[in-house]
Order: sequence, then C-alpha cells, then structure tokens
Amino acid sequence: MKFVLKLSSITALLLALLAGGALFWVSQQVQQAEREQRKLQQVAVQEQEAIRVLNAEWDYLNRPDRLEQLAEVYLKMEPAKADDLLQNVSAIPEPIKVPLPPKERPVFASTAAEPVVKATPAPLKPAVPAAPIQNQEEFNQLLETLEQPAQ
Amino acid sequence: MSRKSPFSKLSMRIVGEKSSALDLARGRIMLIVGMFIIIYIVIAARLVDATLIQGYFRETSELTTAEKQQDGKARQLRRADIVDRNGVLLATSLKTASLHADPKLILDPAGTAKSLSKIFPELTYGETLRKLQDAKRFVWIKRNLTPEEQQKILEIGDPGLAFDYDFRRFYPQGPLTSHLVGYSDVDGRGLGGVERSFNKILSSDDKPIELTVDIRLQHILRRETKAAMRDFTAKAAAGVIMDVNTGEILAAVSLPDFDPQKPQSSPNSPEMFNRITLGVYEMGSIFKIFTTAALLDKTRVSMAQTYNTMEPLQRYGRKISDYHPEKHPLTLPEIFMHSSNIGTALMAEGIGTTGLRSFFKDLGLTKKEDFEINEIGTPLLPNPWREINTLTASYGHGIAVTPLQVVTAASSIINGGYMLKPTLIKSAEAPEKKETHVRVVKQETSLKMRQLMRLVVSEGTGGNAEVPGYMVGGKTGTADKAENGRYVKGKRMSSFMGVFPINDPKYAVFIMVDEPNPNKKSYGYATAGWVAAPAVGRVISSMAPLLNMEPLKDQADISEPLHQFVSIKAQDH
Repeated sequence: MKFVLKLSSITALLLALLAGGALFWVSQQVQQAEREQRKLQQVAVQEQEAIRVLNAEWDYLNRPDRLEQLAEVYLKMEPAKADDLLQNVSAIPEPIKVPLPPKERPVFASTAAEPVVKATPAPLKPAVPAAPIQNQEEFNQLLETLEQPAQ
Repeated sequence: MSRKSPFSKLSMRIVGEKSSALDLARGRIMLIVGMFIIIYIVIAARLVDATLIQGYFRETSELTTAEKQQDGKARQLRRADIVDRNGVLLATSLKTASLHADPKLILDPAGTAKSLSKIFPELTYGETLRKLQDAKRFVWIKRNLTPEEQQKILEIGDPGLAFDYDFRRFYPQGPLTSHLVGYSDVDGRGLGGVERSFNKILSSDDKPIELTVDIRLQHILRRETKAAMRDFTAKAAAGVIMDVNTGEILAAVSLPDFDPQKPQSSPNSPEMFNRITLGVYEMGSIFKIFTTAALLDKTRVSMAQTYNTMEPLQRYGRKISDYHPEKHPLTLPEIFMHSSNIGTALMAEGIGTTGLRSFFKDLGLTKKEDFEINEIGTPLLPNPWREINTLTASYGHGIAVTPLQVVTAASSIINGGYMLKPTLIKSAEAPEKKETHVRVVKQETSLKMRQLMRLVVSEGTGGNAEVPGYMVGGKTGTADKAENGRYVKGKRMSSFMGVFPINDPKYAVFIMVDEPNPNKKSYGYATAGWVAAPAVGRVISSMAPLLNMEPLKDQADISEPLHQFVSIKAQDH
C-alpha cells in the first residue's frame, strides 16, 4: 500500500508550520518591544532626574537676592513703589479729548443701487456711508429716498 | 534484496499473507520518524533563538533589570521636596553620583590620579595615587559629584573608576529660610525646622510639603531686618509676617542665620538659634496692646478716661516710672501712643490680676505655642504671680514670650477678635474662615485697638513706620534687657508690631532688634521708634506693591476720632 498524503493533511501541516512561524515572529516582536520599552523607561527616568536637577538650578538661580543684585547692576528698573500701582481701569487717566463734530443723524440710508464694483459682502450696519455727493441734483435725489418711509 | 542503503528497506515491497500488518507497522515507523524530525526542528529553532537572538541582547537586558532594582530602592529613599506657597523649591533631593575605584582594575594609576587632582583641586595627587594603588578592591574617591564633574571623570575613561548613586539634600534658597525649613544630615534625617518635625512624612511620601511662606516676602523681610541689624550694629534680630485673617506665616526670619547646606558644626552657635519660635523675650511696650485691649474689653472704661501719670508709681516696694514723665494726667489714647508705663500699670490695676492673667491665657501667651516645628520656647511667667507682677507684665516686663506668640496674639486682637492658630504648612483646602475660630475680644474692642494702633503711627512713637497709602498701624516696644537679674540701661530689645491696612487689616509685620546701638541717622536713639519702626515701614512699602495692594491715598484716618483726647506731642521710646 502506498503511503499517501491527503490534501487535508498537507494543508494542516502547512497551517501548523505557518502558525508556528507566526508565533515565533510575534514572540520575537514582543521581546523586541519590551526591550525598547525598558530602554525608553530608562531614558524617561534619566530625563526626570535631569528635570529635577534643572528645576533645582532654576530656583537656585532665581533667588530673590540674586535677582535683586543683578537687576541693580544690569537694569535701569527699580522695585515697584506704591505710587506706580494702578489697580483698575478707571484709574488710568482719560486721554485728552479732541472735540469731535456734533453727532448727526446718518444722512444716507442704504441707497437702492449697490455699487457694482463691490465684491465684499454687505456690511452688517444698515447705514452705509455713501460716496461724496457730486452735485446738488444727486443730493436732492438722496433726500427724497430718505423721506420715503421704509417699506 | 540489497544492503546498499539503510533506506532501501523502506522502499521494499512486501508481499504475502501478512503484508497488510507489515504496512501498518511501516506507517507507524514513518509517523514516529516524522515526529522526531519535528521535535529536532523545534529544538534547533529554540537553540538559534536562545544562543543567537537572545544572546545578542542579553547584556543590555540584564543591565536594565539591575538598574530597575536599584531604581526601585532609590525611589523609596528619595526624600520629598519642600516648596513655598508658590511652588518654589526650598529643599529638594537630587540623585548624585559618588566616585569610587577598584585599584586592581586601574590601568594607569599615575595618569588617573593626575587627572583626578586636576578635576578636584582639594584632592592631592599623592593622596589619590596612594588610594589608587591600595591593596583593597574598593576605595572612595569623592562623594556627591556634580553632573559636570561626573562627565569629566567619564572622559578620563579608566575602567577602574565607578560610580555609586545616592540622594543628597539641596537647599536652593540658601540661608533664606534656614530656621523654618531646617536642615538634614548626610543620611537624609531632618535635624531642624520642618525637616525635623515632618521627618517621617518627608521620608515616606514623595508628595512635596507646601509651606505658607512666600520667598519674595521672606527676602524682603530678611533684607530689611538685616539692614536694621547692620545699621544699629545689633547682636541679633528677628522678623515675622503673618496673614492676620488666617494665621499663615508668610515670612519669618531669625538673624544671624545659617546655610542649611553647610550648617554650623555646633548646634549651640548663635546662628542655629531660632529667635522666632524658640527664643523667649521680654517684649516691653508691645504688651500694652494686650493690657489696653483687656481693659477695653473687660471694663466699661472709655477713651476719655484719664490716669495720673505725673508721679512715679509706688507699689509693693517697687517704683514704676516713665521715660518722659508728663506734667498732666494722660487720657487712655495718650497713654497708648506715648507708651506710658505708669498709665498702663494703673490700667492693669483696673483689670485686676485674675483678669489680666486669664486674658493673657486666652491669647495663648502663657503656655507653649502649638506650632508645626519642634523648636518651640516655653514662656517664662512670674512664679508665684504676685500683684506687682501684674503691673510689670502690663508693660511687658517680668514676662517673656516668643515673638511668634506676640504676633499671633496681636493679630488675633486686630482681626476682629478671632483667636488665630499660627501655621506654617499650607493646607490643601482653603484656609478656615476666621469666624469659626474662638473669639478673644469683642468686635468693638478690636476696632478701638485699630484706632489706637493707627494713632501710634499717625501721631505717636511709631511715626517712622508710616507708608503713605497703606494705613499702617502699630505699637513700638523697647524693653531693657535683664542680665543676671538686673535690668541693664543701654541694652535694649527694640521691636515694632505693625499691621496694615489698619482699616481692614490683612498683614501683621513684626521686627525685633536685639541690642541695637544708636547711630547718627537715629539722632542717638536706639529705641523701637528709630530702629524697628522704620524697618517695618520699609518692609510694608516693598511688600504691598508686590502683593498688588492698591494704595488708597484719600482714605479717612480711623484714629481721627481719638484726636479730641490727645493734647500732647509724642516722644519716642
């Protein structure tokens, strides 16, 4: 009798080999990752230690007496005095008022014909400052549009 | 049948009766052979894995586990940090390398010794060389290296040099907070201040301990206290800044002080002595705050009450006199601003011994203060307490307490009358509302005391503490120092207890100068009004802008209503 390998056995064997190979590969990957992680942890611990050293050094260099001494030597500044303090906005002196022309009612409501050139969307304010009036006729026209109640 | 190959048997064909049974047997043999082949393949694969793949990384992985173990051990040993209220480091533990050598592995002892003595000037070439040629397998070269030094040693590259890591305590602020934070020994045991009293917590938990101290204020207080001490060539000085509403210590200095990095070898040297909480002193006139508050709180005496202070007071065979006797009876505000001993003693008679003693007790002046560091002084009280002791205690003689107690008691009177508990450790939750504290004086008494203390600065002996816009109130105290049971003229303890802003008190600033000598600037005076009061004024003028406090220039002076009772001009003492 001939020793016959059935197709199913071959498939099973191949699958087993494949699974074995995959398992080996995965376990290798995991070990690799673990090594990586250990290394990173080590680096992190070292970095934390370095940060601690730097923090200590920062606070050492920022000792108030040292800063005061350095400021005295290198800066033209001095500690804030009571007179230098302004607590609220109202304590800031008002800017000198330039007399403004008296406020008027807006003369021009938005005219019917929008300028064609206008590319930007219409501003939110209804009253759009119009172009300077060229002549009396135009002005009268505008006045007329004003007189008409809003429809 | 040939015998050419052992495998030829496998390909033989068996015919006959029992051929099927033999075929079965052959099949089984094949199966077993196959299984062995697979097993050997697995073994081979495992061998490759174990020897080549694992072996390649073995060294590093072993090292990391070793480091890990060391690290775990180290993490347990790390002492927690101490920080100020803004998180600035006051004490921290850093991992430092210590250098040791294995003389057997040293390749070039002479060269290495030469390079080492170049890196560390304090290591002599000869001594180092002797160490490196020692017969032992382990010699210490240098403890606690800086990272820079360590790098330089690594650059020498001698295989016999090795490092050991341990923790060392560092105090980045140097002497600034020496008495509060304290110091510790090489093994990380706390020997003073918070380092000692919180030793267990610091060495078991790695959460930092947060103090109520603000190092900016601490610096201001130290600078001005030091200046006062230098200007008046004094022996020692102390200062405290307290939040009068919470009892938090914002700053406290005791001078002379020490560098916790290298503390004085003797714990009894004056630098190591904590004058804020351990030293007890006769505070002199500052005690008039307490006597006057007791009188106003316990009796129905009004501000218009006058006392005969023209003659020295003769009582129980002792004579109480004033520095500057007045020619007419003084009103209560006059006695306070003028700091009259006779007047205050008469006031004490009005309160009575029991009354004054129990008041002092309520203020916590008669027993050891409950505070977060171990160096606490026990007050010295007259024993037995006779009537005369009541009279002298009323102006701060014959009773000695710690500066911390005085500040706490005065703050408690000024803050609306709620007893404070001084604290140095910032609590996680918001500080308790003072309304939950025990009341020591009435609200009304507290207000009257504010008026009186303002009067001292606006009209009286504490004028040098005035800072425009911040409404300083206070009381001067000049006590003669006792030596060998006798008071010595010319040896004084000058102190000033300041509070600001007096209309709505927030901070108390206290400065005490021990044995100040008069100088030209103070016109020959070495009394509190010339020594401690200006120092407190300078502290306030520096700290208030720092704390963003708005100067209020056109505020009403609360001492104004008292002016009707005041007819004399104050003299300093």
